Amino acid sequence: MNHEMRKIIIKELKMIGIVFILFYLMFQIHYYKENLFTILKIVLAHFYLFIIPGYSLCLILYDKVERLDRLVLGIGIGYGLQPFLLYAINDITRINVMRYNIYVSGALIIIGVLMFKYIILDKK
Amino acid sequence: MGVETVKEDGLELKLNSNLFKKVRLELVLIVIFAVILLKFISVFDGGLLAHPAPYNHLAGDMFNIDVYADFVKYENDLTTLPFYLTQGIKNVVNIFSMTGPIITAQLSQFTGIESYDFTMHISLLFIILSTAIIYIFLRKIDSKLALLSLPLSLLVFKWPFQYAITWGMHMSNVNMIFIVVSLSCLFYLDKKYIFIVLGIMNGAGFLSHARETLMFNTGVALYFLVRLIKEKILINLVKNPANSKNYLEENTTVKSLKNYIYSIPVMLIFMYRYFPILDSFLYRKSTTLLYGTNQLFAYLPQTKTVSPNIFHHVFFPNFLFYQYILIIGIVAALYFLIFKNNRTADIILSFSIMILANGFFSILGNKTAQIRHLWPVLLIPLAGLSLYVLNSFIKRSIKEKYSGLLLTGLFLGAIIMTAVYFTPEPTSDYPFSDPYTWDAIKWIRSNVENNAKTLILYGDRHGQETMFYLTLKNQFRTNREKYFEQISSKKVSSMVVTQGVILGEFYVRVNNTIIEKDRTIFSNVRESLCDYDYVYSDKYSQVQQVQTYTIKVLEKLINENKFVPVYQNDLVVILKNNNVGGVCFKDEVLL
Repeated sequence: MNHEMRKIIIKELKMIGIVFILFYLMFQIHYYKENLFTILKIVLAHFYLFIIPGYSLCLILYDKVERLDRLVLGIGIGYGLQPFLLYAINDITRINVMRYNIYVSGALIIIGVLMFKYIILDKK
Repeated sequence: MGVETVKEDGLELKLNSNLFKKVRLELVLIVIFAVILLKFISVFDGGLLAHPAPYNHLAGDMFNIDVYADFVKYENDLTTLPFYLTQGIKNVVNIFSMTGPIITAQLSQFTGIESYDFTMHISLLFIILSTAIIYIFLRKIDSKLALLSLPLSLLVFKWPFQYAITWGMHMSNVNMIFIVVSLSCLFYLDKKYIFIVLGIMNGAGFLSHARETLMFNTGVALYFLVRLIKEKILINLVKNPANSKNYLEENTTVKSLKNYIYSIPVMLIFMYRYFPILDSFLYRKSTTLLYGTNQLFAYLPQTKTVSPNIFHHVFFPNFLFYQYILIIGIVAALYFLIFKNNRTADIILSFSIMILANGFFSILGNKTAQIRHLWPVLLIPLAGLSLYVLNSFIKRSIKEKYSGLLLTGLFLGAIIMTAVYFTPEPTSDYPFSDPYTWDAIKWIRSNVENNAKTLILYGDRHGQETMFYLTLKNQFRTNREKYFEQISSKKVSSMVVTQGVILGEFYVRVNNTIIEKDRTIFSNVRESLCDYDYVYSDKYSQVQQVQTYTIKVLEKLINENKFVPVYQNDLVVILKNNNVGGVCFKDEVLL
């Protein structure tokens, strides 16, 4: 990983981190009777399954869209694309979607980062 | 960016040089809003995510969403309805919108918390996220406009608007996030790859709840029409068609329009499963069509005489003082659309105007009334614009240094008025399902065989039969009306009138043929209690006569037939029949 990419990824992770903390605080205040770990699990679920995959795929818009707007688009992509992919895979394989959802989200994160590296960074 | 700079649009969009102070004020006001917001949403789950039973589920559709989420969790084939939703008919294509249930099921599996808790969680979260996304979008125009738009969104938590949360509008709430993200796509639509994102948003929107996506696209149509007219593109192209190439390369509107068209194939990929069965939707009806009302009734007060469409609850007067703010907002929005040249404002104002229009007029058919429940979120640009105009008007007559005070006053005034008139009241925690009932339902899930038939002696304690679909087993219920008639006759009989699944989609396709599911096959059938493998019943009733009758029936099943109690708690008992199809007890007159 070259220096520039590392710098960019740290910046992007900061953004995700801040939003993660905001989500956590919002849930912790709202679900004030739940314990800390339950809240952490919920926030992790939202971020790992949907928000980070969507945000990662939107890295391809790095030089076209402002960071906050990329987050907005990433939220939409995460909640919209990941369930559709699970549905489509289920339609083809007839395997319960719940068996591979974490792999699909993981794959989307990796695809997003790779697209960012090879399509955006290498062009620079 | 593909928009004019803020200076050009005449909306006084520039932040002052004293940016730091402005940001701090904005932050303080946002925190105040967040505190009120958290107070408002606290009535929906009592500070807990995980509840021992479906919490605050006030209508059958809530349970229906839970059923589909559990269907995702436990079944291997999401394209075919499971046996417990078709009463045994095989190969029934599932036409339910699955995006929401798939999200709900995954969160449930990841955290180990029941799906029903995430039905409520997702509705609340997506409403909040949608508001935040519209706020972020409005900030591109002006931070004051964005701030002043927020208070209206709080109305969504107050009855009758809160129907969107507690009555099962889960699919619309999920859809809403895709349509508001689509607004950001429109903002960047002249950029490379954005058409893919817009296609995904429209596709996901269609898979969540198609009608709101269609409504959003009427807003897109208005936006493009306004831009094409304002920039005189159509006239120029008619005069000189050779210019079209230049427009395609240089003009933001035309490039955006081209990319919008490119997004359609992406959207269609999402809809691939629905093409073969699209015609089945033609035969589907909804309450609004059945009532046959003109949506202009949205403006009339809620009385049965003027508005038979009372089922959908929300009418324009429900906005109280906000209806006048909205009317001013509409006038201002039309003024800006016609006379001002701001692309960003055109996007959001076209959107809000068409969302409002769709709620009044049946442009897109039978679900337009439902969008009115989400108006408090989707119309915040209009309310914000109205207050923004008021702010600008007053600002002219005061000193510049008081402008922050004026903004704060307007914002807090709106928040306080909203809190006074629209603070939601806590609802009943467990109106239909309670921990005892849920425990019994879970017992059926784990212990009853898939080929067994369970009869619910459906008395007066429950009002939503879809709750029992959560047994995920083949279950029937006594027809309540007929059951009560039977109880009134004081004749204890083993013969009861039963009914099957009512929301398992009335129109289904079986083996490539659309059939209208004949409810008489499953409903109002007179059957013997002894034909069922299991009988589920409450032990208690609020009506003494119902309780006496039910206990007598259960006693007779145990004493005179081969039924044995296999599960019971303080409220529910489940009997197993060891002689299915045998002769049942004789009728007896209750003294």
